[in-house]
Amino acid sequence: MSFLSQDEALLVHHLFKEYYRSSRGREIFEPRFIERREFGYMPFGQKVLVRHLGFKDMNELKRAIERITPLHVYRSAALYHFPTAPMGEKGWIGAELIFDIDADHLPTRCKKEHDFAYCPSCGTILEYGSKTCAGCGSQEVRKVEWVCEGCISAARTELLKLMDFLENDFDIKPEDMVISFSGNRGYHLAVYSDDVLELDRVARQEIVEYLTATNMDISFHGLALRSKLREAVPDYTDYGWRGRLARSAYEVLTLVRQGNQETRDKLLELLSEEDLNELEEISPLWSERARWDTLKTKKAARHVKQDQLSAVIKHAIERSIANIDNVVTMDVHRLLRLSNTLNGKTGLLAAVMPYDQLQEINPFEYFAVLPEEPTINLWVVSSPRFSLAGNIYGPYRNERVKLPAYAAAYLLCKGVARLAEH
Amino acid sequence: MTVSDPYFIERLMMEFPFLQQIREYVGSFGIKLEDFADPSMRSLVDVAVKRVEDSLAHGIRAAEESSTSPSEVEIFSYPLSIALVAMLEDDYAIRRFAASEAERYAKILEKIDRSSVRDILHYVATQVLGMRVKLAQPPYEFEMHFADYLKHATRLNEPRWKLVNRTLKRGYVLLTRPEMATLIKNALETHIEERLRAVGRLGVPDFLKEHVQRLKQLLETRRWREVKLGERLAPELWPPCMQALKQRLLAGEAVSHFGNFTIAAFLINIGWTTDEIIQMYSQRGDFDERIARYQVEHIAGQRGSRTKYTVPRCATLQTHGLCIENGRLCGDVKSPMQYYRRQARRAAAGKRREEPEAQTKAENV
Repeated sequence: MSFLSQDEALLVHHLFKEYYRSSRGREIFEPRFIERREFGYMPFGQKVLVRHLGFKDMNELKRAIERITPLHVYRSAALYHFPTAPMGEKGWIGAELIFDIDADHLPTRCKKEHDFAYCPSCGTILEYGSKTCAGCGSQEVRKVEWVCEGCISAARTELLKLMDFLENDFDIKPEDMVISFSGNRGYHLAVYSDDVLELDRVARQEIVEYLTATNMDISFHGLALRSKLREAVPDYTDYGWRGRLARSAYEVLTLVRQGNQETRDKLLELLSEEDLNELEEISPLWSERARWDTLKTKKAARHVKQDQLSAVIKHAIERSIANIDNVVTMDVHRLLRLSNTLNGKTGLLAAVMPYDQLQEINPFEYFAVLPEEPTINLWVVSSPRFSLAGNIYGPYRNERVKLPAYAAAYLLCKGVARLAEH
Repeated sequence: MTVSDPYFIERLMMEFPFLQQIREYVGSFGIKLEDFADPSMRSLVDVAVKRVEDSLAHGIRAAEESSTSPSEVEIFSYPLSIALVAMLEDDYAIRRFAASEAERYAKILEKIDRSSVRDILHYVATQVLGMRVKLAQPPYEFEMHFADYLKHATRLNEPRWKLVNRTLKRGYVLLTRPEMATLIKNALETHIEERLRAVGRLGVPDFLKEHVQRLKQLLETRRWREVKLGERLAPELWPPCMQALKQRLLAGEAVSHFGNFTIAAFLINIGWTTDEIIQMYSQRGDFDERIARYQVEHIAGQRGSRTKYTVPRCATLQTHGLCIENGRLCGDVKSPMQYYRRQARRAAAGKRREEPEAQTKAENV
């Protein structure tokens, strides 16, 4: 629980309750076969997960959410014969294939800029990861992981890559997927077609490895690093990873030619300057088809780690994979956030995203669904600049501010503000 | 010859007694278990018993000795073989029978002439096993839906079977003919196992009592030779990953939560008691008996969900970075327990060779 005290929790609880009573708050996502799912929630005020709950229909579920008004609401990806029985006796029928993309797992540059820690007792702002307060020596340092539009856009890029894999390689239809904003720093995607329902843990692990190129041996895709290349090298229109490798390698070569700094930096970790400069000339040769034979397989200098072919392939793979949370996808008993409910870490709606508007919708703009009224007086310890519902707030540091309810709830949920007296 | 050819279907029925059609065909004669008691059925009973006996005694090697063109006797005796295996009420018997049967069909498929094998594989995959399989263009001859592929290919250990190393074309995995044959063999094995389990418990009629008794004895000797986990192996014989985990634990090095879970599950599965495991942990500086006991008992299934946890498979250990040298030292195994059992068998075989010698010496004294 991240509220600074009971008072803050009470206020947000009240705002959540009002929301679930409103008409929009009743538009909770209805998972298929609701009576076969396990539900769980985390209440305000206690750090426990109440689980093994079952509901016979949507009305019963909505009434419970309104009555309890939890901090977080979860539902199982799995279907069970007895959803409310203890874990070993539920009788697993099958589970949706679920994916969690979390900006926290992505190597974004902004993380360093906006994540921080602070000391609740003296208010000193500290570097993220500090264990003791530099101001008063207290051991109770609170970590704050911020989420900015850069984080969300990085997560969205991964989501789009994942969808490209699912649609093209696995032939999963858009109508068989539900995509949601997680309400905090990423996206959830659930596939519920019959094809995937019965896949066991091992099969799901294979899918994870496919999406992340884990344990890939490129010789099975027609590429060999040591021996001479075989005839059937991967080309742009090939199916599966073959085509992905070829297209991605061409992209890498084009970026090198355009002088893209990020790409050059990445390749310089593997190649000598000389080998990298040579690569600038290559992309025109690749315009018709993937000319793997134009990449050298010998290193130009002894101190470098790799040759041109290996380095380009390595970077091409890195760009192609979908960065998903492996553990979530492999877990066939996982509880995941129920879509169109409020996320207690932010007060934002974990909303279902329309498939064709993923690119356009900025979650911070659309999913701050709590009301503007009442305006709330806060003492903010520290907050970077942030934008919600189209308005820009902050940055704040140890100051008193007056904010609309949704923005106040956002800071209170993150534990960086407390209620101030009028 | 094509799939619609009536002769083709008939031949297929003869060779694959578990086919839906043959079950209907045999069923149409209305044979019941009791009918086999009639002296005129003696030869059928003998064939059925022999089939089970061979599979138990020789496993997949039994397939080598089987004929390729079964007689009507063999076909009609097949349901009785199934019943006999069910009467043994033993999972090991089920697995062994299924494996040898699957091998037998694979051998038959190998001998079918090349021109028609493609159609037969396609027929067996789609009609018998219910897989979504399409015919494709060389060098690949088949495309199998990824969900069906994953059901069977995950049992195969070589890197080339990993999905990440396959070409996935709009939901279908591209396969060569030999690859398809291997997958079908695996799928047949699972299919036969499932059918055997579906039979459930069967009472043993008098006329079969003697046979069942004999098969049970055979099963016992077999089992004794297979695995004797009762005797514990010295840590030098453990799989490398477990040796490494134990060493790191004893050296007081940091071991991840998953690493702790893995070694505890392993020790429980090879027969260590909770106390012994805790004893080992107590040598660490950060040892807290209360927490350690709670966790170990949980893994052993004495607490919480009461599930006794199994040891993670090699692939999972690889994902968590606990596999040593990518299994190079382990030979072809899929899980640390498989490695351990193999070591146990070797140790037992070594002992048996030593024992008679020791006895002779004793007599001489």
